[in-house]
Amino acid sequence: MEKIENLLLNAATNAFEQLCFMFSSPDDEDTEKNLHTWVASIVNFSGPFSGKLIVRAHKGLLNVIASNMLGEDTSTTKQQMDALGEVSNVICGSVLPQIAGVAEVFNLEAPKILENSEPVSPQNGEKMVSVSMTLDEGQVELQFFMKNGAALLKEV
Amino acid sequence: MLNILIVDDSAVMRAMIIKTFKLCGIPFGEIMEASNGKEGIEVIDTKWVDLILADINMPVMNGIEMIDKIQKNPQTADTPIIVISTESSQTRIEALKNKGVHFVKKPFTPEILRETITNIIGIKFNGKD
Repeated sequence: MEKIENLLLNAATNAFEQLCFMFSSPDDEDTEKNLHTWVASIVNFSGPFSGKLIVRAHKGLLNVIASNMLGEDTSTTKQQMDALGEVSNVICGSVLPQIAGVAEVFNLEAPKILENSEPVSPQNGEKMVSVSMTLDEGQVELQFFMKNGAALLKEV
Repeated sequence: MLNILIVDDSAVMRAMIIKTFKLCGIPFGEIMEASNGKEGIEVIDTKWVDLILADINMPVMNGIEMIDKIQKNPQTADTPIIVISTESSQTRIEALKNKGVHFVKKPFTPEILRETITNIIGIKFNGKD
């Protein structure tokens, strides 16, 4: 499980750096995180195992993500949701082959955006790995859920 | 000058690809956009397109289906296509390459895109054109 946490964190770090020019910060955890409104992007996937990746960011972070991707000073709400979805898609596409191997084929669904989101608990035998990363601009939380992947979890 | 068609369901990603493409220093004419494979086919059927940059996972018509249709049409079959996708499965990437399609993994840098385009069209650009 710890290896998946590291893979998830590395994939997220790379995605935020390369897509959004946003970098990890060594700062402590956001002490005001309970005061924020959080928006989540959910990517469901199927393949050798199925599951979903949830990327949660507080609303104030969305404009930075989208604006940096677009190279503009501001962004619309639609662009912000689109940008968060694209980042989550890239993270999911990056982490799956690292867990299952590059020969395996996964189908990723289009990201779904959920406003005012709360962390989700695993259900129906799902295994969950969660990590949070602190960017210079704020905190991002990731939850990775796997079904039917118990054997893989033992290997990684 | 290249006429470019960018096919991606994410408007932000299309904008980012355009921005990156402009940073490549490759001379271009018209840049056209489509949000799925069906729209992409409609553009290529009506306008002159020199190069297609396309995603795979899209609603309505995905990138694979669009590529198959383009390659079955004698008038568009030779149009170079670069798939820009999060796809990481070597099985799928090899299948794309077997269709003569080039592949760039998201996230990508201007250098990678420039190198891929340069390899396809066989011309070295100096970045100042």
